[in-house]
Amino acid sequence: MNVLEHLNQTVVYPLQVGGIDLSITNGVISMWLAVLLVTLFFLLVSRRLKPVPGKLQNVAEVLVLFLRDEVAGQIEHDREVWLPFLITLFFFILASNLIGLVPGYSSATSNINVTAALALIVFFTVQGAGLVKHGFLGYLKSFLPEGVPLPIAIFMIPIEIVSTLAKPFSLAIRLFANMFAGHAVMLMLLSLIFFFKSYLILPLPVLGNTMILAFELFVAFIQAFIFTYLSSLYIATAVEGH
Amino acid sequence: MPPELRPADWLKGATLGVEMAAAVFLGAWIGYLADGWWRCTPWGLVLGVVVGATAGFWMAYKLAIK
Amino acid sequence: MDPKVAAYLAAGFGMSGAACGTAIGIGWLASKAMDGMARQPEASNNIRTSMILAIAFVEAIALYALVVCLILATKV
Repeated sequence: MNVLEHLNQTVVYPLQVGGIDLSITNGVISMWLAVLLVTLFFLLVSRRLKPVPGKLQNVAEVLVLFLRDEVAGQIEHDREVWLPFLITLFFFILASNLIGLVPGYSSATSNINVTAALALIVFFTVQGAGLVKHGFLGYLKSFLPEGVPLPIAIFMIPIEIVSTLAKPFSLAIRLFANMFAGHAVMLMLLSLIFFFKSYLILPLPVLGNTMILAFELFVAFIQAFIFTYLSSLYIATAVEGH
Repeated sequence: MPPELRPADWLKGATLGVEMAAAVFLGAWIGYLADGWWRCTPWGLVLGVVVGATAGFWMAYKLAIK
Repeated sequence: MDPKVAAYLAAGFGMSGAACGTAIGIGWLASKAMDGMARQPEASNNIRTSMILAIAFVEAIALYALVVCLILATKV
């Protein structure tokens, strides 16, 4: 009896496009659901903006203003250029994380492919921002650490390359590990019932799952915030200068 | 009066653990690939781990100097 | 003993040992930091920042052990 196979993706609609397997799995469906949720939320909020906000607009305002001041506050100038990207990133990750908490749904971000894709988007955005801002020569010069004499700096170039590559890798792994671990622990606690084959064990999974569900709610918000905050930090260090 | 410590400031250090581990494993993976490409087992892996560890400590050092 | 059984056992014991060491290290670190912060509240910001940095180092080692145990538990 393999318990962990509930965490795998189940294919809903097999689809092959030119040799690439683009099947519609339940991960794809929950990503579409997250996009739909975020779009509907913001369409509803921005329809009638009142100076004294109602309940839904208050929620959106608290989050968006927090993002604008704390998170994008890392970037010194041109803050408005990066703000839509960061807000979209935050709300997509938050919606994906929260959908996974509803019983029966799976979160898109508990899949390493989704978090790796998000980290790649951030990586190319950061490198592209550095390229556009500093030019090609300045971008290459950013790999030399400063405050170090020149021969040692040449020696440090592979180290700088590894640290630049380690940043999106750590972004993907952090988000994936936090989301996957929550689902795996809940599944393990539930499978205790099947393992012992009696109802006497029931208080332990029920209480445990309730506590872990509350903790997962907290972790969903925190991990979305950390992803967005680190992305804005990398953008700020790539765009700084002049 | 010392400046108020916003959550933004210590968050940079709190996520450092995963970044250091990621740097070591990324260096080890690049070393492993270099082993397969240039056939110099096991020195590619050793060099990759050393480079990754140095990269991790370099990131921590730059953060500590701030 | 079957190699798969040995690998699963090793993964379990390895990670729990690493978790013990990490928890003791971080707890000791935090208690010393709190002693320092109670003794001199003006330096509390500096102490807190250094404490977070040192916790990151200790946590990185636990993460190395975690990855090794994951490889043991899933590949064998």
